[in-house]
Amino acid sequence: MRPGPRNLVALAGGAVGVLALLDAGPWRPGWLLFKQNRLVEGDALPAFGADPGAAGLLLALWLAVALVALLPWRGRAWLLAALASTALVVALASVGGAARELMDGAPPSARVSLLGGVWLTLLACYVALFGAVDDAPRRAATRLLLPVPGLLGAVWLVAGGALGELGLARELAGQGGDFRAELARHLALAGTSLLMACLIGVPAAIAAARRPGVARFVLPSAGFVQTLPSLALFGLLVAPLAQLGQRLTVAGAARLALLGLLPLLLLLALRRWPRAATAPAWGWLRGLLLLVPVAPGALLAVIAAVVVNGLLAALLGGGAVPRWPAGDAPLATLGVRGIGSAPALIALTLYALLPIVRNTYTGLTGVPRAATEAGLGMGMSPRQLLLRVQLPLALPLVVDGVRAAAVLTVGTTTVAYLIGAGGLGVFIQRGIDQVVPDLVLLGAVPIILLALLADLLLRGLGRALTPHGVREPAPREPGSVGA
Amino acid sequence: MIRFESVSKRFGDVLAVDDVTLHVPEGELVVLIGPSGCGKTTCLKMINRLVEPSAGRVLVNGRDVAHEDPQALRRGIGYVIQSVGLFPHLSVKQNVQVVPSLLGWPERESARRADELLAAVGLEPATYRDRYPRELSGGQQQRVGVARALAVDPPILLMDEPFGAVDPLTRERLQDEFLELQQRLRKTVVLVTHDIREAVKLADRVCLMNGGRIEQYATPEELLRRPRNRFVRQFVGSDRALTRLSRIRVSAVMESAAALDVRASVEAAEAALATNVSLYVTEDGALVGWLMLPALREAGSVQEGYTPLAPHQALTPSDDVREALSRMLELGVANLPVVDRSGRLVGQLGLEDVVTMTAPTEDAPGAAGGA
Repeated sequence: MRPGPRNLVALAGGAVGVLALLDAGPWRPGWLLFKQNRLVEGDALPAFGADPGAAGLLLALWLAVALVALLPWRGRAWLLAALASTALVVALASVGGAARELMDGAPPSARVSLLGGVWLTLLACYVALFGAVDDAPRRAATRLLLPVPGLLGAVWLVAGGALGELGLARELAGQGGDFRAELARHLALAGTSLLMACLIGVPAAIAAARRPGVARFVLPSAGFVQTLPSLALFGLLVAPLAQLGQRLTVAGAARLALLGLLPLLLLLALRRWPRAATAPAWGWLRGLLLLVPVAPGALLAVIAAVVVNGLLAALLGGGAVPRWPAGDAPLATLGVRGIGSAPALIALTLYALLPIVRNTYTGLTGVPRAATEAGLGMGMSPRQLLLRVQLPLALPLVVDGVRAAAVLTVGTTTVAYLIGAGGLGVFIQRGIDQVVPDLVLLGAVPIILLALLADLLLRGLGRALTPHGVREPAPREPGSVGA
Repeated sequence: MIRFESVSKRFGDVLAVDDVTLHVPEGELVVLIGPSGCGKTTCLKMINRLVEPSAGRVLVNGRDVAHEDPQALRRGIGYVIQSVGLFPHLSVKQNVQVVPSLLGWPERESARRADELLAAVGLEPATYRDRYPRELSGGQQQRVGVARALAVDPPILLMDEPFGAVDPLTRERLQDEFLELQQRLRKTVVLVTHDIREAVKLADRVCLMNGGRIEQYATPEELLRRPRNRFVRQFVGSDRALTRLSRIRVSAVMESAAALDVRASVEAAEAALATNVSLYVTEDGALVGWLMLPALREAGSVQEGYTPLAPHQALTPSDDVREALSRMLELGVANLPVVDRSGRLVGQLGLEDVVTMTAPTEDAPGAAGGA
């Protein structure tokens, strides 16, 4: 693919980058804010006030980005990526250096905060890198590597402590081990919910794609739960979960779950009996046998989610490894309580369902009719058709649904602290309570980075799982196409 | 081989197939034809149980298909559909291997079989086996579809408008190739189409359907020469005489042609032209042109006097007569030479021969000589 005449995305990035540096008239994004302590009003420094040399260099870089974006040149993607990456590293290094200068000799309670200009600069880097990736040939596997050097540079600066004197870093140090623990909880909650949503959503969508009756129920349901406010959902879940946790023992829950599985086993046995499928009551019987295990299945799912979440959090450093309780202990000891991770996991799983269900359903029903008809006509069983034809063709869309759900879940997990499940939302709330913007950022910035990372990883996975024959056109040499 | 016994199919209030009784003999190619909604595709799909009859029985090899396991039944019957239905995520080779892999063939054997079949349908295995359907033309996809249906060498082949989705030129070629293949393999084929010319060209027998019923089940000659009722007559068209010609090969009706070697003397040529208005001129048996008396006299030698003829102005024995007639009308001549593949003159076809042959007598001898 030849590059378009202009790269408007990168041009926009360059423009934002220039705007971030300017400080004139009513437009005062500022660069750094210096306060003697958390409570007093501080002094806002413009970019050219904080570090004139770096600001000049950044201005030159952004102007170069804008200029290059206007040139229809083949190597443009690489040059844009290089310029934006340099800008990212220069901006971070200059902010760190300026903060160190400001903090030199200042009291320990003093804080240097980032102002709009720096955030705009980071936004400009993101936009320009995005534009660079967009510019690279679609089929080049290397296009996703374009932003990597810049990101590595940023990571290197952060890890090396270059930004250590910023308020954000100070707050991080002030929270001690809390940050690591809440980050682990956040990841565990989001990861477990996503896993549960996949385990429930994909089979539900497969059933929906096979039977219009199921689709009429599943698709609106998945859409409906998305409209529930999270706070209301938490409120609704507190009482029943609390009851469940106190009334039911661990062993009782296990018995209930096993009992619920019996109808499923019966159903499987009946299916092996060929005459069963022709019996007039078969449809009703099957519906009944499938409906009975729903409640025990849901209970089992909640217990499994709570346990997996606990193990995952412990593994990531967010608490002790949970102990398996005695059989006669109430279910609450396992974590199934009115507050804590159980309601959070339920709510997050429900929210993550819609993108997964919808994409899987769309993918499966979008498989060309000719392919399914040919498959059946050649003697594939419905299961073989699903595994050999429908799922492989739907897979890219399924993964895209999981990607959307992952980005959504990482963000939504922020509210989990409301029901006592922890997560990075804790710092946001703490920051709001104590009027410390840097503390709010301590929660918000990692959430944004996690969402971007999840997006990137799952995009790559989606590409890798796209069957070769259905990728974007790979043109053959012209002579080879004939009757 | 395949037998329909009083088969009916009802979709809601619509009677799609109404009491059809039909026998498809082993090794024959039977075409189901009729206007849209006449029940032809429904009949086809009842053979491999993609559709279940509401009444009556469908027998394959004497066994009621209703008692067979549908998946096992379908794996033993080749199936080609109009839109080809190749699996876009599988390579050409993997597409051909689908049924063998369902049957658990070892990979080596099914790979060898795939190569063999690709070659049989005219696709060089080394070039095409690793391509994906999207990288093939419509005609190539259709060939892969046929190869895929033949993968486990099923005795029966069901084809639902197999040549419908390609351009007319490619369609002709695919039809010719399929006929050739069928002459070798002698499968029992049931083919659905709505194109009467395709039916006449390919079929051993044609089953013309309308409103779920069979209007006439006969050989193409019979159908064209003796349409049983008004519907059949209308469906086969007022140009059915021409349609019939498309089944007849030039080789069946051509007659010997008078020819003169290019090195013959003027005297010999004049003698020969006393009995013929014109002569074909050959050089070592290969057709080079034609000669008439005035031109010979004016030029003074055969060499100088003959009118050269380009190879495409001659017919080949495998052309059909309809095409030959069209060529005559186009060139404005009443005779055309017939040459074999190496350009040797093997005979000629005259307009009178064609006319006598198509004369609507009940026992016209020429018509029975069709291919």
